[in-house]
Amino acid sequence: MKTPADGISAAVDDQTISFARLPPRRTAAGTMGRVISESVSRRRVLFAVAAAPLAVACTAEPPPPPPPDPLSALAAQARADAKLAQALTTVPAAAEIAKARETHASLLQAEVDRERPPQSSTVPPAPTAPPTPPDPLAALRTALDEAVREASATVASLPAYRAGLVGSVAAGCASLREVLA
Amino acid sequence: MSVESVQTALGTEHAALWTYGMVSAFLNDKAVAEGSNLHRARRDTTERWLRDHGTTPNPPAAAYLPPAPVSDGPSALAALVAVEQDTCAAWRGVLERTDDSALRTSALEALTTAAVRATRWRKAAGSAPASITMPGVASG
Repeated sequence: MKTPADGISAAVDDQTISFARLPPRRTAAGTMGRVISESVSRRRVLFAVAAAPLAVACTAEPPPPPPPDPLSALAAQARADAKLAQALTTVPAAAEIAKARETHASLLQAEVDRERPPQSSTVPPAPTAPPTPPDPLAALRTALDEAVREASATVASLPAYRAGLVGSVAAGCASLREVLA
Repeated sequence: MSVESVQTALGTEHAALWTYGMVSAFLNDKAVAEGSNLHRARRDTTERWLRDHGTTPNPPAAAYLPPAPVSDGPSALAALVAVEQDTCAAWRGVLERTDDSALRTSALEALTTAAVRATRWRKAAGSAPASITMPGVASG
């Protein structure tokens, strides 16, 4: 015997799954299914799932520019450290540190340019001279600690042929730090 | 490929350990014992790594030849600098030949600590510059 409620549920089931040509569900779980299908139809869910990647594909039309070379950040850091060390005329080891960091910068930049030849022949913009910190020696120590950390962290994600170069830069910075110790 | 480079690194660790033992006759420095212990630990982990990768670790040589004869404090310091720089070169070689992240981390640590010790010995010897710009590179 049919109750009015059965009639409504049959109508809902027919509407939501008729495209699949499946018989309307008549199980105990049907009660749960009916509650869900009243708010979100299966067709709508399937459509949304199918359309989502399509929408992503349409919006991401232009290929994103390649991520910046991790070595170019290390090169910039080396140039900044060299600048900082040059300003420290009172510390005897500063000249040595400035020279070493310049060497690091040029080696790293050479590798960056080798892998991705620069579009124009302009040299990378020199970092703007930061205001001289109150304690330049402490700032240089911190900068070298930071350089060891950054270079070491970068090594893990590099291809093997670059890992040696960046590993030596990390060890070189640790050596410079030891000079200041 | 990385196994051969690790064997080379093990060879420099054997040489370093031997050199630290030899210079202790000329340098009464706490840092000598410390460096010796660190190289022994590195040698042990390197041998373990090789065994774990199905290779028999190369044994140490009976003796090693420092680049210059060691007869006093300054020449002992020079031998320590030389052996630490060899260690740097060997571990940089490992870095360039492996994609194994654990081995890479360990090689980087070995390279960095050897560079710091080499700098310390150069400082003790009064060399200028004391720092090594690119440890592990022949011209560095």
